[in-house]
Amino acid sequence: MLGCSTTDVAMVSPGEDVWLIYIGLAGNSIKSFSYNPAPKGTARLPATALEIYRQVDAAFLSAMQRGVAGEDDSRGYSLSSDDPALRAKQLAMHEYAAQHEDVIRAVLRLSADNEQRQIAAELLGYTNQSKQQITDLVWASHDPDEGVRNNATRALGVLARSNPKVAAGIPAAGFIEMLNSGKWTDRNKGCFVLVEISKWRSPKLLDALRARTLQSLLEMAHWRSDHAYTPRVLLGRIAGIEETRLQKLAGNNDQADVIIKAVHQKR
Amino acid sequence: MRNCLILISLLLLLTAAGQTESTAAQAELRSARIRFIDFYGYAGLDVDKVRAARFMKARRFPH
Repeated sequence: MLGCSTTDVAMVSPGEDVWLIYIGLAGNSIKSFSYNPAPKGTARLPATALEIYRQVDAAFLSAMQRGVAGEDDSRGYSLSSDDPALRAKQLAMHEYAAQHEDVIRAVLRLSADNEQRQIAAELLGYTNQSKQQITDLVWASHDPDEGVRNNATRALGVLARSNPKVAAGIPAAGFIEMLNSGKWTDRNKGCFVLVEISKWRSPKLLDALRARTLQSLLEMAHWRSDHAYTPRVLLGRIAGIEETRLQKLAGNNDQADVIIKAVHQKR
Repeated sequence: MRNCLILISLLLLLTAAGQTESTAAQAELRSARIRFIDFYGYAGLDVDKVRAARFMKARRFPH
């Protein structure tokens, strides 16, 4: 027995019957952040929306289990790049979401049902790009439910990756807070968004990351899976490592210490 | 923050997952391979002691 308090035990599978386990320990680098008030409304998604979502979800899980995980984010929503069946279902979800944005937004803001809001967050990522879409997803990234935060933040990361103008319009502050969360998904998806919106290396953003998240980034940079890639990139930008070199370093576990050492030297 | 021990937490989580899935899924869970167990949030704690814990050595869980 270890006598250590935990904040989370996250089991993540990259597919093919392999699992990665991330354990949050209640040390000094955990800092909670405030969530939105819990919605209390009765709004619900139409049955068609739920059926489309479940078809995509099932096809996605099937693709993951087969190790077919290629992703095309160029349109601002996630499409499979190597599974035509999944891609067709995702395109159908886009068609539906683009035509039913109002009900999706209402459920995301108002429904008391966590699962309904989780699905609405994912669907909202598949609507046509707009300022309102970004505003609602940023709001949902601080939902009291972890799954809603995960889906909304991931959707924002995909949007940011697809279009630099969209990325420039996403406020960083809320995602910086997420990097110190006790929940693994907050850290993982927060890093995803911040990697996209820090591509231009705004000194203000990099200073904020250094001042408020350095310890958390260093901890995540030591992970042994691909999930260490985004925190390593953020650290490398803080350290001022040239981008092409940084991408190579961040993808190699044996080179992670080069990034970490550079961060310490720049202190 | 949950105030429980890491090992208990892991066991409970795996057990709970098994209880809500089909028998086939439980069998799948039993044979699942754990590639890594990694940590975060440990500033101020002795993470090396946690990493050295016996359950970390298991390649498959539960046996």
